[in-house]
Amino acid sequence: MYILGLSFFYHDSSATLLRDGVVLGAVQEERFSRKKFDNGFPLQSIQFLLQLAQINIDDIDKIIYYENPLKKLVRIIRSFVATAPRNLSTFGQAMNLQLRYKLWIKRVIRRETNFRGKISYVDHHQSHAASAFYPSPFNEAAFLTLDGVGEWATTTFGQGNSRGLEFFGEIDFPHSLGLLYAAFTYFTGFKINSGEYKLMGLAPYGEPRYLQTILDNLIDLKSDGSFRINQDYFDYATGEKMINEKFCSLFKRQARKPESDLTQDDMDLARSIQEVTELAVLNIATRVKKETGQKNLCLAGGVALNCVANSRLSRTNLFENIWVQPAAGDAGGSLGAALYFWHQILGKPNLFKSSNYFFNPYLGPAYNKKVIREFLDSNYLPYSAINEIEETTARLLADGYIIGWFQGRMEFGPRALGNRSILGHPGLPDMQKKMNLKIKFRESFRPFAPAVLEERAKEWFQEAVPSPYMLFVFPVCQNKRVPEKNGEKKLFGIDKLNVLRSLVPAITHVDYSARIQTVNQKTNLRFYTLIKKFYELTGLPMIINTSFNVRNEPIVRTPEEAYRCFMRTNMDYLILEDFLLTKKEQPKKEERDWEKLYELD
Amino acid sequence: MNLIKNRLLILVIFGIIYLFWIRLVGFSILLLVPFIVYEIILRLVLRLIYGRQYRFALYNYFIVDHPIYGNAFRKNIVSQKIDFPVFDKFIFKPGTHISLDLAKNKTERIKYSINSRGFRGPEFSLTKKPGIIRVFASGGSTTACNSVDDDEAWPAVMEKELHSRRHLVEVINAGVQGWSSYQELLRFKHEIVNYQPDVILLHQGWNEEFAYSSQNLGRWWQPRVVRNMIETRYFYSNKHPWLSQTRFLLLFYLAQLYFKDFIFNRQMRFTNPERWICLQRGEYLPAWFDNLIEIAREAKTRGILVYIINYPGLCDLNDSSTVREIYLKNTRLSRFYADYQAVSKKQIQKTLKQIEPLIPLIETEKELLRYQAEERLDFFIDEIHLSAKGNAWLGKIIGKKLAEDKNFVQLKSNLVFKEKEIGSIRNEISKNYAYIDDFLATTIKKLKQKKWHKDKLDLPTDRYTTF
Repeated sequence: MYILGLSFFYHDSSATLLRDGVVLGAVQEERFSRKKFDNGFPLQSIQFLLQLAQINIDDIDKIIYYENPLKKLVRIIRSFVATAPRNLSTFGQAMNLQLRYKLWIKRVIRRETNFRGKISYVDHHQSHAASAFYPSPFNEAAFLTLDGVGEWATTTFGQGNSRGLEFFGEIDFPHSLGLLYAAFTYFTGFKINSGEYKLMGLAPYGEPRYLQTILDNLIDLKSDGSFRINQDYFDYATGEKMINEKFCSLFKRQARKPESDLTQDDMDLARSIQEVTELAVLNIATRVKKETGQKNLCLAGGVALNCVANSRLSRTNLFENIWVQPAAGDAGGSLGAALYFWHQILGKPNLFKSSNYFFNPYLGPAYNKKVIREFLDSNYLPYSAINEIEETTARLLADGYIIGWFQGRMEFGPRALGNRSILGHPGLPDMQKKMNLKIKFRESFRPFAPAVLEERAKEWFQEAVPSPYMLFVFPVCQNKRVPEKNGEKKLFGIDKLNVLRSLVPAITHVDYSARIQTVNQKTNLRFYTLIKKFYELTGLPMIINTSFNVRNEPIVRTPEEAYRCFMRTNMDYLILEDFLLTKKEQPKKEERDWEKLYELD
Repeated sequence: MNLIKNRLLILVIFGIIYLFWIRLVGFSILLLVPFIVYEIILRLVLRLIYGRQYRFALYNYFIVDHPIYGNAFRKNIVSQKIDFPVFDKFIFKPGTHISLDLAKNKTERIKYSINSRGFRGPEFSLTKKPGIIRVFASGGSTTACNSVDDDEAWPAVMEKELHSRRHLVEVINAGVQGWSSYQELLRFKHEIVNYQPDVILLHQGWNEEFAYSSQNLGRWWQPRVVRNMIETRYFYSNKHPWLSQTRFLLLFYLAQLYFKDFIFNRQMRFTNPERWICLQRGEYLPAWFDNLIEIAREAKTRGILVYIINYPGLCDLNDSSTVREIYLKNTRLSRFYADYQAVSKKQIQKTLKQIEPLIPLIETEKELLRYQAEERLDFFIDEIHLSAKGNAWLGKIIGKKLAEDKNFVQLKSNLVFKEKEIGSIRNEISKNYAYIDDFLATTIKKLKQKKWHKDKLDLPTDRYTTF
């Protein structure tokens, strides 16, 4: 039985195909359309999945959409009625969109795909919960979903077991942790839906000066674990902006203009909202623990991509194990919707659960050697075919070169986990700056993440636990840190960036943390072998792993996209499966202003 | 545009008068007499505007119908000696605004001569001189060459190049504007084999795809059908012997209005996703392959060497955005047009590479890679046709490669045919490179997307989309 899960029209469109409950493939439309967070209909994702399964659309038994458009419409109308007659024009726009397009999801699906079978809806947070629990390794677990908003719910929790998912409680719109974080993302000059992780990366540079202000005025963390957002300061429920003048007055400033210089105040705001988010997550997790009594927790929803909060939760030992869906945002909605239908509606058991079950995030397209060779040959690109590519790559990395690494199936979710990655030497002091400014062309304050051998992770990172999806941060061990020199302690803000903090400075953030990806032979053998070889050469059991793209560009999907990205940046080598391309040997390509091709994120 | 507008205006005026007649004359007269009268009036009007040889303002002078090949070059003409205004674009310098004034019309022509056997360039004898290697360069307009003098066309340059390398060769330009592989096959079998050829160079591709897609996006296309001059160049239709003649200009106008203006022009827009779907299908490729193989078989039995040529185009899918921008600014190309050309070029390249195990390939595209942007533009007069500089470059490259080829030097047959291999290559010939299929799918989706899809549902960046 084939089930196709779809997510589109809000954030990050995607499609997932299940065959008898097994995930055959899942992919985000942005990877095809090359438009970051594309929310359009995921036609090419569907076409890819059909091709992958070698079926056509008529072979699909059921299509499941990841939220309920009617419930959403009711919420929108009620929200506007509650604030009427304010924001009438926005109401008109919202209703126009809803009544013309977003309400008629089934019609849109049929028109775009010619599908004649049955289409159903699953609630937004049911999708998130299913995407959290069913792919996790646990037979029984609590789940917690946190995001901006779906239909009504912004936060849900409950537990999953062999009987399915049970929802114990929810927090409804407009009280939303995701929207609170998004408001600060906007206020600090970043783009909503894409700048949240920048805000998180900025937080360690600041001090939580505004923590109490936020707790006193904006959010009320209740003793039962819930929270309420003070709507006096926000306009997102029905307005055209996230925040209002009162919000600006509270912080005695206006929103930072995008791309303008970051100030210490921006960093302090980032740190403050990060602390608040962590407190809120801990608060609600305590309630989840109390109500479910479970030792395992599964997380999903956009807020679950906040790896600093995840790690703080992990360190409390409230739960023995925490598993976070790698595509925790709306992209994972298509996966969750399909899984929800299979397990919850059809009542099919999960036959793959075991303690060492690994949810494979490599669910996108792959390109075999023949296809890559065709591309290289037909474009007259010089390359060499290498027998032991891991060893060669490890040597090049050890020599300080920056390498584009393109292998196997593309990752599902926002993180590159070793199949579409740019790799570098974490021990070189100037590597972070070089990679940020010359490779990724992004803000210099942003840290890089290491991919580390799972069995060596604890030697380098305090209390490290397996983190195969790069969704937890851990501090670098004391014995790997470099003592601060006189004067360095006094530095603040972005000046902290250039201080040598550890033996692996390129992946050590200013607070000594690192967002790690643990790699073992089971999760990604080739990537594991590469890191192992690098370890043998350098004594460092890790490499820098950042997504194979430049700022504002979706992660590369195809060999030609990888090649184009390679040529536009200062990468030294490109590895396409077993083929090695050297930058110096490539035909020169003059390219100016290519950055304008992608909207700033 | 002006020509279409004029045509439409003339048709509207005639339509009004025609309707007026309906009321005045009987049904039988209505069918014939007015038609003749309007035909006469039309001719008078055209004569008034274009002069005595007004017909050649409507259609090419250099191309005429041919009983076997459908159409071919008019024999025994030299561009500069024609004593009336002609409008065949390819005999004028690039970018020339073709003048009605005879003197100006004549001075702006390049030297474009067709010999008594219908080949571009000087006369040649039926039997070659002893010791001379006779090479035929067969192809379409990219071989006949547009807007360059006879001695600047790449076959002529190649001849000089081979002479400079002490090869006694006589190169005959067998390219004809608009020809595709089937016409070349027919000419090879019916004509060229009688001229004692030693080598034939096949320079094909662009017209194969165009002949297919231009016929109602492949719906009317049939393999191995030759069409006359009007059908090929003015109607873009399949065979319509009754309509595709120039005896009655009114009929020609009306038929052209239907075939060209209402079908061809609409279908062939590069923003039409159906055109891209047509390119994706590649149904013409096996037919092209069959023609090439048949030429090669015939050549093999006669001990003639055959080479296929991979020829560069202006645009490439790998062009950087900066380079592409330069091409768009300096040519008639649009973004989708340029992409279409680049994909089409890759399809041709892939097909030639697949055929290479059977027929040796002369690779020239790679050599042009070092020229990008403005430098590359200098080699072209449009997206596919080479300038004098480009022809000089191509002629030299092909000459050099031939001179370095052992089979050519020894005049030893260079064709290896294994029937099984032919079958398996043919089965694969319609398949695109995976990355081309991917590109086509993305482009088709982009073009199919409704406006609402793009404009109305884009994510805002200053707030979370709660609705």
